[in-house]
Amino acid sequence: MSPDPDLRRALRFGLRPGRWTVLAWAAVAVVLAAAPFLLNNYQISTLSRMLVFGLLAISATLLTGVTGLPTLGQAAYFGVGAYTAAIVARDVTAIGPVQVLLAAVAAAVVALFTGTLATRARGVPFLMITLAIGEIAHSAATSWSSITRGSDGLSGIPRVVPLPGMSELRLDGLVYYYVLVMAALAYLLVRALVRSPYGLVLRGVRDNEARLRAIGYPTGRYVLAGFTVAGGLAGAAGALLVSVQRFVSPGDVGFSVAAVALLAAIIGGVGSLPGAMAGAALVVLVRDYIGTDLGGRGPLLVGAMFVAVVYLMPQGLAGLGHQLRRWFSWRRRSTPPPAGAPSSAEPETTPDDPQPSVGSDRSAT
Amino acid sequence: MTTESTNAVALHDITVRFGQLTALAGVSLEVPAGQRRAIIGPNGAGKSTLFSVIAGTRRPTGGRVLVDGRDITSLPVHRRVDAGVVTTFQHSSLFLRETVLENVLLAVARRARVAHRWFRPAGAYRDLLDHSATLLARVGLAGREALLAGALSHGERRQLEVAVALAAQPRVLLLDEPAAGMSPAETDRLGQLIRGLPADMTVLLVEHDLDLVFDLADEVTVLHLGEHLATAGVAEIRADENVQHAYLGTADVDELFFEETS
Ligand SMILES: Nc1ncnc2c1ncn2[C@@H]1O[C@H](COP(=O)(O)OP(=O)(O)OP(=O)(O)O)[C@@H](O)[C@H]1O
Ligand SMILES: [Mg+2]
Repeated sequence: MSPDPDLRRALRFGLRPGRWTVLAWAAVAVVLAAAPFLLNNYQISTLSRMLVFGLLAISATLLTGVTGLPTLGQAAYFGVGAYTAAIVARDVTAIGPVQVLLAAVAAAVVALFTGTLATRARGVPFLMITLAIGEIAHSAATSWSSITRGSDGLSGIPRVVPLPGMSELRLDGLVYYYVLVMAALAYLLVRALVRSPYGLVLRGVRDNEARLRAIGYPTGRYVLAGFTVAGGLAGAAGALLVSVQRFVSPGDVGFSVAAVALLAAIIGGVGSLPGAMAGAALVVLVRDYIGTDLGGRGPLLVGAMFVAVVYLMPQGLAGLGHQLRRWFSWRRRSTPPPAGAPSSAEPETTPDDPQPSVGSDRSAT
Repeated sequence: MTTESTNAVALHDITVRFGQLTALAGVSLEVPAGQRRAIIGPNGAGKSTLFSVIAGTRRPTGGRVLVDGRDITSLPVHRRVDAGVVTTFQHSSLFLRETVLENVLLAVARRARVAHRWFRPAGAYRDLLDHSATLLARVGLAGREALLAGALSHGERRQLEVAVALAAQPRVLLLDEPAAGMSPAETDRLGQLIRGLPADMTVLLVEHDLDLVFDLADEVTVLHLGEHLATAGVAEIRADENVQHAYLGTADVDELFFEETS
């Protein structure tokens, strides 16, 4: 009874990405790299904002999808990060990564303190507490005017410098590249987390927290750590927002931002990182781009889209991708075998996809 | 108190009330280290409630729980696991959206103290994966590692339940009806597995399959309506009139072990 030589097959994220996944990512990379040559200034800064909100959506996904704790509080940490970065940029340094790092740390610290309260709750009470945290952050941004300048917001923020010794980025396209690189780095960090033993523990919390305790986990501490990381990530996203729009106001800390993050996380598909990115892109596109043509009915459209997705694609965009892949697979099967069935004689379709559905969310690939 | 220090588990006057209902009425028990102790009794006798009190998933209304002579009555569940007390659940409690291997790996990773690490992928911990697979093979789930736990049959879930508990490295193992819903072959394998557990592991077994109970147990405790009826060796329990009465008093004829063992 010697164990399977490659047991990584039996992990949800155990395998290296397959051919199609790599190709898809390569295509995305090419499109993202070419974008500044194809788009006008307004479009390119919309794309930058999509990346920023994508990171925010990923931080929401870490809690909502991976850990099973739907949150409406991420705008608070996003705001802490944005204001921290704005002040650092104005008073200390124009170097972007320093701003991002300090913003992430500040947001993580705030998340740690607020999280000690919030993570005692689960489900709807958790949602309510995070909502309250968001509201408190919003009123703090409005009323703590010695620091935030109230509803006027902080402006006059210098252009970002990507690395020491480089000059400031004057073109929207270059700022976009800076945001793209930072977002990619953050994405890879979260991806590593989701695949690690710690990521498995967070999924365990979502699946069956009581059982997790019964095998020795002080689950509260693990959840609080996840909450803190998600807060730090939202803070990093906030810093990137400041580099894009060189302005921050209480509107960036509001309920609508938190709702966008949660919607994007859900539209993307439970626990899926690429799904959260795509969901955020879709929400920003509808709200800021199509919505403006409709005379400010963006939010209405976003709401309608949300309802449609929840009803039509319970697995979200990530599930849709999975659906399409199976659709186009030349070897169609009527009933998928149970996840990675040992006898699975379908080398053509399984290498990049060890666990066909069975109610699974195809999380972060 | 020398007797207490040699007892792996000692319960003093445990009472559990659910509103009006008294599920356990002042039960005291002592289980020496390394013993295989079966706990039997009709439905609703309080067996699972007793386990939940030992494992810490439920606080007793009154009484004390000692493990290795140490009072753990107020310890949370996860600290009791650190102390070596691990339970399985009568109604399988698994991570249904993770794979079979990952279910065991969660317990293994905690014991190996890597559960907080987040930079290397779980797949990089090859020795832990191997160890998890070995445990799965022991309970009869070899080759099922890549299935989602939610795709397992009822009997297989019972097996996985045991593997997860073993992965937490118990010194006191509580098995709540592990054979319920298993096929005769699976039950046989479970019997062998329990018999093959290290001699210094204390095992408490709640089970309605009395063939299995009488085969495995060093001693048997009978609960009835939340009260401790008897604790004795297998032969004595089979002959005990009170025990027979307790069982005959139940409406559920399937529970009559005299039929099953005949
Ligand atoms: N959470 C609860 N709330 C209220 N009553 C409960 C609860 N859990 C158990 N009980 C009651 O306590 C009594 C003992 O239940 P318990 O589950 O311990 O019995 P058991 O001996 O394990 O029975 P079975 O053989 O059916 O598993 C039963 O009458 C049951 O209905
Ligand atoms: Mg029971």
